[in-house]
Amino acid sequence: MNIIGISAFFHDSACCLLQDGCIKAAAEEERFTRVKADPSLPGRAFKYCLREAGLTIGDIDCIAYYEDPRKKLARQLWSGVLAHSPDLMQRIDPGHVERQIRETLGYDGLIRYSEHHLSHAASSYYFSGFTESAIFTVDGVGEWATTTYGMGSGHRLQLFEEVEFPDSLGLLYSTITSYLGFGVNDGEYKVMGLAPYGKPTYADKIEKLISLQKGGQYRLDMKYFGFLAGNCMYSERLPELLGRAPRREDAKLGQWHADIAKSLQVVLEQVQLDKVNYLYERTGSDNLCMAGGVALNCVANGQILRKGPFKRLFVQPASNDAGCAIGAAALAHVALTDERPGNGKLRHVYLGPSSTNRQIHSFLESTSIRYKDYRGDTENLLTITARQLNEGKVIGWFCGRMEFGPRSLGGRSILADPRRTEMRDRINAMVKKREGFRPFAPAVLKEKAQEHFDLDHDSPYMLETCQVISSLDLPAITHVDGSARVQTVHRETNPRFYDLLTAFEKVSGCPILLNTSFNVKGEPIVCTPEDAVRCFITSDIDLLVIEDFIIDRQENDFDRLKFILMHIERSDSGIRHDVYTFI
Amino acid sequence: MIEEMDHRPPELLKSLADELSEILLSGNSDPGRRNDLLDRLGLMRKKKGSSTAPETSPAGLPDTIGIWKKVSKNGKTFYRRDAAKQFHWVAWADVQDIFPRGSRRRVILLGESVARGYLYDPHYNVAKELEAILTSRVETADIEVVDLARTSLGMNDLCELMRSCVALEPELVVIFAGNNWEPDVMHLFDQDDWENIGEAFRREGFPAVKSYIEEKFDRSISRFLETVRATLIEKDIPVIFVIPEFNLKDWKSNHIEQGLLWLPAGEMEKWLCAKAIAEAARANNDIDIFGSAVREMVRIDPSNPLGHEYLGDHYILKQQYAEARLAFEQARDMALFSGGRSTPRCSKLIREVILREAPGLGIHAVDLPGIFASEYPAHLPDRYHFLDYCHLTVEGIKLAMRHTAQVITTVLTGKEISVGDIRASGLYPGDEALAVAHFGAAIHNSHNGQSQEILRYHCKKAVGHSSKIKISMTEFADFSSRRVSSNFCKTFQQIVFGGQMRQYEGAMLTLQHPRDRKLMDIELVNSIVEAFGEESNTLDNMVSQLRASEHGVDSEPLNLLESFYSTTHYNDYAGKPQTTLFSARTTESNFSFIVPPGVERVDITISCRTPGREECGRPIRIHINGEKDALTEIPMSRDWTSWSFTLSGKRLNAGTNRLSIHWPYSFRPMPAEKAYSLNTLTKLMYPVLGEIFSFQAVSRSLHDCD
Repeated sequence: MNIIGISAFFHDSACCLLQDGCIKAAAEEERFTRVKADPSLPGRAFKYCLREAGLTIGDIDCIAYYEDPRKKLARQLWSGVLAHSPDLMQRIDPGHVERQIRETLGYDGLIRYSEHHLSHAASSYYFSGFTESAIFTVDGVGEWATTTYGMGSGHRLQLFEEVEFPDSLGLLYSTITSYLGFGVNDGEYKVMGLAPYGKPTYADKIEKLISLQKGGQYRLDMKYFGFLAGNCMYSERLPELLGRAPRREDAKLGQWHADIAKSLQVVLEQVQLDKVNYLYERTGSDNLCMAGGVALNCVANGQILRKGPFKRLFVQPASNDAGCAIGAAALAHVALTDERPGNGKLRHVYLGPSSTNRQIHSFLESTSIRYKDYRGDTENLLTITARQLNEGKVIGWFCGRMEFGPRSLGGRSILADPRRTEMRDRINAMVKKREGFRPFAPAVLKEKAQEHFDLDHDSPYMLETCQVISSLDLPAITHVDGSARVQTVHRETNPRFYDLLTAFEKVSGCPILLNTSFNVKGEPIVCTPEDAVRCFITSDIDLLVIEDFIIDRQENDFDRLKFILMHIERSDSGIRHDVYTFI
Repeated sequence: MIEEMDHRPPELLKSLADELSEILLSGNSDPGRRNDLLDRLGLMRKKKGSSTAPETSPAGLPDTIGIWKKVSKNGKTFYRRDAAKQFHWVAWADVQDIFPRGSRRRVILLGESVARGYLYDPHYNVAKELEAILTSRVETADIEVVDLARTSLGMNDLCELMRSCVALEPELVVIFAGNNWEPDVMHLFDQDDWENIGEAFRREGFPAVKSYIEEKFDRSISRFLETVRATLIEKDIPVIFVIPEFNLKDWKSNHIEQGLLWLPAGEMEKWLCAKAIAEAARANNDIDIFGSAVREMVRIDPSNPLGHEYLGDHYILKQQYAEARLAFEQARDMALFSGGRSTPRCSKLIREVILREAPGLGIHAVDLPGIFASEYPAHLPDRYHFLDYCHLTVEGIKLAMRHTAQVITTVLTGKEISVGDIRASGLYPGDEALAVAHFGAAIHNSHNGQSQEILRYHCKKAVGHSSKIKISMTEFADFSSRRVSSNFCKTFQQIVFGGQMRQYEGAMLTLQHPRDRKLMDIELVNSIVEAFGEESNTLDNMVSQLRASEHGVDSEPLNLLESFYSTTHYNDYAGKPQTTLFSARTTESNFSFIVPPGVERVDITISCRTPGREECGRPIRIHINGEKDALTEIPMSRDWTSWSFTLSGKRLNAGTNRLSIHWPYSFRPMPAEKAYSLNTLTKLMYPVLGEIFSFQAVSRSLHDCD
């Protein structure tokens, strides 16, 4: 049975293929179109998924869409947010989801609709490896729900409570994100990274924004929020409460901003801990599955695991809306087969396209780029790469299938030596052009993880933080509070990346690498060899390892190619940074 | 509807929102309950305001005029090219500074790429020709022409430029524009318009659609002319409007523009029959049957440019040039209604509105279509005067500027002067510049779907002017034949930094291609090879080897839907969202693929359907390399079905092969859905005959088992 799952039309469009319950392929549309957070129907990702499995459109048994358009529209109508759209009727297209699926993709078979949070829940539970589990989903908003509580057992999954819009932890976080001068739907991660620099001095004020209610409920005090009107996340009462005007995007960050970020983080964790305790009481399970955009807050996830009542935690690696594509497909599989999808725990997320050595060679031969060919000589390639890392070089690493989800996990990564103090500033300057306070994350050989991090279980998806306990000095990946967001690397799922870490350990004594996503600021993570080479050339990365080929900046003069590549017309982002894109 | 106490809408409105959502998504057209709910939810739609009035000019000198920004130096204020806009410089005159008006009388030239002397600029252009003509005459010897023409200038930007150019104190302004206006007008259409057009089409067919669109266009042009009056004429600045002409004879419509219109049952079958008769008659030189068949085509479907083009050809055969002109003008103008992105053109409607309203507004018109018609009664505008659809050759520029100079002289001196007394200047671009212009024209023609005959013409002209162009041609042939995006190719770098192609909008922008939409340019590269004459063997070998290694069918499936193989030009439908499918709106779809030497067998797999249609005995026919008999036949099917067939032996050429899919036409009732966007309107008016989801070729040894 071949089921396609789709999330689309708001942000982070994605497509996945579930074949007899197993994920065969999944990818975000932005990676193909190069439009960041592309919301459009994932036509290219769709074609990729089918191509990967050798299928054609006639082989699809069902397309599963990740939310209920009717309920979503009802919420938008109730909230009044559409009143501020220039042309209400134009935006309401009867049956547009089905029409676009049928006309744009050419599909005329069965379409099933799931609800948004159920899709999130399914994306996590069915691939957790748990036979039963409590389920906690938290995001900005789906149709009406912003937070849900559920239970999964065998192939059954049920949500028994929800918190309704506008009461939303995700929108609370996004509101403060916006207030701190970062883009909504884009800057939340930065706020999380800023928090360790601050103190929870204003937690009492943040607490005024949200009150805990009975059971799984909580309530926002809407007088501080402006997102119902659709123009700004916060009202004028919020700066009055917090005692300072909102920060402009380009203004300097100070201690006060860090304290606000910390205060927000603390309140978020408190609320979440309260609610997971409630969930534990309701379900009695020792297992917890999480999904939804707020589940990408790995600091909070770490607190939930350490301080909460659950013994085991699984967070869907693609906890954002892209992951709902997987959840929707899983729900359709259950409905059609009465069987649970998934093949135990999700082992990896290398679900996107790859390129062959032949394709890459043909590409490089067309260019003026000088490169070295290590086909048939992997050991040498790894040794040289490890040595270069040890010498302080920053490496672009393109290997195997592209990851699905927001994290780069050794498929499309930028790698560097975590022991060098200057590495964070270097990578920020050369590639990321991002705020200096944001930490980078480590990838470590699975077998060596406990030696260097306070981590007693695998963490293959970089979704929780823990303390660095290494005897090695790792300034580039250690956050100001001594924490790190760790990826454990497993030979079974990414042998080449594993071997690179092993080679690095051999030359340096350190089994850890700094691992950040292979993209420049404002662009999606690279997908194809062309994307990788473009990113490499237009940034200042020292070396590009692209399958069995190495391109060394020192052996090339990229001035002309850089000039050409930098002046290709860039696509606009799919996200609107001032208000949450729930329209 | 936010309750003050709670700062959130009342809970009890949720059920109303649910109900309204249900109504809206079910497409329920009863407005009563819907509007009541909208009102109760505080969502009643406000009336649209009238279109904004033209902006008034700010007091004082503007900060910018085009790419030139105001600079004050040594007590003087002038305009200098803004370095921050360096990448836009290629679209404008290559002039660093524009100084305040001095003792010379100043004529400002505003306009589009046609006014740039596209493909000759900066070596030669319209402004240079005009100034040279004017300064060669005593009465206008003191005139300077300030060149503010810009490639790709639209109507809105032209208005802005008119306002800002007043600061340069022109004595007179020449506007040479009208080719780029159609997209600006189409952007004015909103959902109401698309719905109205859709309903008009349902009721009365194409004539009602044409009428609706033209009426809106007419008003838009009138408003623009009023802006000209308010901005310039009222300030006592005379305006001369040069109405562009079009390459009527040589420029042909492409398959996007030739999409088959929905017609009532039986009518399109008649059109297709008439088309077949026309083509056969022409091949047999039977002019009368050709004529009656093409008249029938035009009668049945006046929207299809092909009928008008054939009619024009017929009239040429009959040496009835005035009638031929009318027919080709119709062909040109039908592109506005095709739903596709066509090349710039100045339609008959634009010309008529300008000629109608200009005198009353005090605008002087130079009517190039009228001039061409009177100067060449026995010829139609063609490659002699045009490099492509609307861009003039040197001869075309000289003709246009002689007439413009005549009107300028009359306006500025008050004396009537005959155009016969006005000579073109002695300015000519050098041979190298002419070579580049023709090679650029070959590329431009190719990328807009023109025939190989015109590509050959321009390539030969290019080489004839200067053999140095062969360097750029070789580089072009190389990077065009490679799979990788052209930006990465070393030969692309060479062509950009070599500078030889700078006339072609700086080369970088024009030779790039959209992401994932690179063409193999087979016919153009073949034309380049031919143009090399005695030296063609080396290039031919290089191209053949490159095509084989980069695109040759091998054991990995080759996706024939990639742009390399499925399209020969960049024109496409304008509606969004774009489908992921290959959609055919004409009865023939063509694909190319490369078979490397030594490959003996190619297996092809196709997943396709004929949406909404399924008839026995009307198969889809697939032909190879122009063979009359079909290679294979596939039954029509509403559902996706996959088919495989094999090519081997004599049917396979080493090198380029062409697959042609012939889709059967049959009537289908018009879909019931309303049109609410350009995309949905295109689907309504131009139904899809066939769709392909996947189309792959893989090579096998003859000895492999099936």
